[in-house]
Amino acid sequence: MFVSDEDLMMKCRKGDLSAFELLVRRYQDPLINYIHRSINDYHRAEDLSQETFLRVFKNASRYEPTASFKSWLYTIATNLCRNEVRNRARRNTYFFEDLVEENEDIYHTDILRDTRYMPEVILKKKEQRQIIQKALAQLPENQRLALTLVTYQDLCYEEVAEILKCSVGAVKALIHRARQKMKKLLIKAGLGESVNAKI
Amino acid sequence: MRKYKQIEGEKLHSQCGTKFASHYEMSAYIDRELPAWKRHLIRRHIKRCPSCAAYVAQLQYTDKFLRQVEPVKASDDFLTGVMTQVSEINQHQRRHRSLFYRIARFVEASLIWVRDNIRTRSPVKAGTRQARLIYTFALTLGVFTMVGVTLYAPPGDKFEQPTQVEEKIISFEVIPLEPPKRSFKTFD
Repeated sequence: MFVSDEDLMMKCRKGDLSAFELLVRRYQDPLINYIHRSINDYHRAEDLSQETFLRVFKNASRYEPTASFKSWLYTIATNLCRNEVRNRARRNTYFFEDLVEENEDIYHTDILRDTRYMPEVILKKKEQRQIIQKALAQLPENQRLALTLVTYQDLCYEEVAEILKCSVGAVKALIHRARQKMKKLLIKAGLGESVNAKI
Repeated sequence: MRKYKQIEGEKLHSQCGTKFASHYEMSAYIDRELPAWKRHLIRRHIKRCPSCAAYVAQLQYTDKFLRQVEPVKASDDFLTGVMTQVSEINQHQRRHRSLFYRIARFVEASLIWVRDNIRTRSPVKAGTRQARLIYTFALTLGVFTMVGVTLYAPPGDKFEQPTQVEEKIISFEVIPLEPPKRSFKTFD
């Protein structure tokens, strides 16, 4: 039987830890993905995801079932991401993955374990992922957050507007600009070739 | 590696004279975020206008290309780490909600209130001796309560959490060994 996030959160308010565990199981991977793409550092993304879940638990009494749990969760995560980026800029530090060579695999060794099947494809995917990740990191903060939420978390524009605290029209503009900029960055990174559309 | 296809859609789109859909709405169109009537209008227009079709195709290429990135996964001990911290927070919160903690806070607050009131009132209105007596009584009561609460606090939160100790009655029955029906005799 599927229990909605909101119901689980209401149980969690009453002190049911198993309900909260189920919520963590549901959202741990999407949340880490979102934060990882926003701040470009896997280990820090795990820390911030943990912090997000702890904040959710601490503020469970304030949660009202009228609001979508997903939006609430991503709002907390977005605020943490923004703080992180701001703190890094203030401290003048760099993202860990920016300091690593392109060909060096830092975390995703599990992908490389499957090289016995199709090593070329896996390596190409890895290279592609790194290029996209770098391009994403070059986008302005709001554009990156909006694009990540829409493309990788499959949220609708209204939810994104709620999370980023702006209008739906602004989200449309952010997404469009982000896509245009990504296109330019990907071409600049050497992934582009001028092809005429065949429609 | 699959090459990212660059299509000169933007130039083509600007050549098209349509006004009903802006650039931003074209992006919203591929995300299916437009109302049905507008989507229908754009779809119909795209069939006839190659420049707008190219523009939409270019946006779709970008989106598809970005979606090819494989997601990362949480480490194995992530859930355990979160739940450990959560249970610690939960225990802390329960302690704060307990009756003993509330009594201690109440006594502390009332003590401060009594002290402040007596200090401000005592020299002018009330008699100094009377004020001192009240203050001494309140202080003594407060100190004793605080010490009592601190020293003799129950190990668990008895008031909030009903103890769920199930009593199991185990009965023993002593069965005397029956004497053997046949006694073996040893013949030496």
